[in-house]
Amino acid sequence: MQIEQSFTVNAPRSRVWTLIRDPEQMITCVPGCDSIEETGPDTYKAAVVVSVGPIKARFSMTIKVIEETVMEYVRTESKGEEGSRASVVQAISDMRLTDTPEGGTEIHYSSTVEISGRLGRYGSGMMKKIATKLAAKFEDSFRTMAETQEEVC
Amino acid sequence: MLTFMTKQDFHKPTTVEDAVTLLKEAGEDARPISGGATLVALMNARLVQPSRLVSLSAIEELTQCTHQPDGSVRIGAMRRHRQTAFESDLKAAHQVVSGAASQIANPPVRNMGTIGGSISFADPAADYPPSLVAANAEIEIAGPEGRRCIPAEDFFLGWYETALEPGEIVTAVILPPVPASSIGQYEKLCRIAGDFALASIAMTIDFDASNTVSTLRLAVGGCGGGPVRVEAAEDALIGTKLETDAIAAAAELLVAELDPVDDVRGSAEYRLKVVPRLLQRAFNNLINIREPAQ
Repeated sequence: MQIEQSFTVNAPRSRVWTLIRDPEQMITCVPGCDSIEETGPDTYKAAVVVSVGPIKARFSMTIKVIEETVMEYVRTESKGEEGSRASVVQAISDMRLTDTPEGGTEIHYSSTVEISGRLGRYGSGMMKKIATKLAAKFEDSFRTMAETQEEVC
Repeated sequence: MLTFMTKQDFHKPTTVEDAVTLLKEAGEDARPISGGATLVALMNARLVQPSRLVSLSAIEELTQCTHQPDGSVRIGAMRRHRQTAFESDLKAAHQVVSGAASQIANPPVRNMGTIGGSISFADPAADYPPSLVAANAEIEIAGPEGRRCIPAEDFFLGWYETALEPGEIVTAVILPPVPASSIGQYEKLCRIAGDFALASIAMTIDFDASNTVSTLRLAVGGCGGGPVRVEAAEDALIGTKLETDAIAAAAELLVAELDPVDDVRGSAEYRLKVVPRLLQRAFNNLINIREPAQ
């Protein structure tokens, strides 16, 4: 499943980059994510809950930054398993930042996601709609965070 | 092997309040169970393993269907699809709901499944959601904070998501009063009898003395995350005599708002092509209801 989207926030690129590379800040924007810890250089472990109808999958995710160009680009590899269950999620995600003429930042992200197991039972067409819905929630939270907390940092 | 069932914490309260308390106590992995048509299948497939099951089957108020003095009809959440399909209290436009009920799956499922369970599951291709939107129904919900009512249109949030908060259950569906002259129609297209809809159209409609459409509510099922209602499409038909051109124009407005996906039943593209024809067919079939063969 391929997801590609871009959105703009009214905050400079340096601030957006700082937030993106701060796991504690990022998890507050990721729907269903309630904990993250750094397990090594550029490697993180996170707990993410994905609910589709009555099925609630709790993934234990490993996220590794595999490539980055400071202030511009980051590529991550994520793998998740759901306890003893056979649900597996894998993703390679790219995020690219560019300045907008208005002084804001455009965030362009694309992700190739594979899901198998319990949630894999839903068709990929529907999963993509659900992923897009979750992505919209992320965008809203991220935009609010980037635009409102600026003075504090 | 049903070994995992033995650990289940099973309860059968007799009041809505007790059911809500039992659900709240056990937290977010507790599940209410009504007919079990979906939940038991999910449990058998080990897709869902609730920490507690709270059966709603012994709560008398949920099993009743009552015609209120003001002409509205209150369908208790535990009413089986079969009961709703044959409900004598559902007349005129309310028959969009009994029509939908009569086309759900097959007799064993209709004997088992309930209206409350079905809408709480909110399958995007299910039959009740578009019919309840077309009927302008209200959904009555009970939770730790008491009861509340919301329009069906605001209940279905898309792709199995509903307005139910954790710990809340559906207690009834309330259909508003309708004129005796109004008509309810549910048109379903599916690959084989008993399947979920590839696409469906639910409508409630009324005509004035000159046979012009005076009121209309339309909702499409199976072509998005939830039922899709497009007021502009309804407006395009109100005031017409349902000429073929008017129906085609309304269908175009309707199709523009649909958001179907490719799945095992058909491609998104196919669904978009089929909806205008289904709409035309739904109106053609109205003639059979309005002018029954002598």
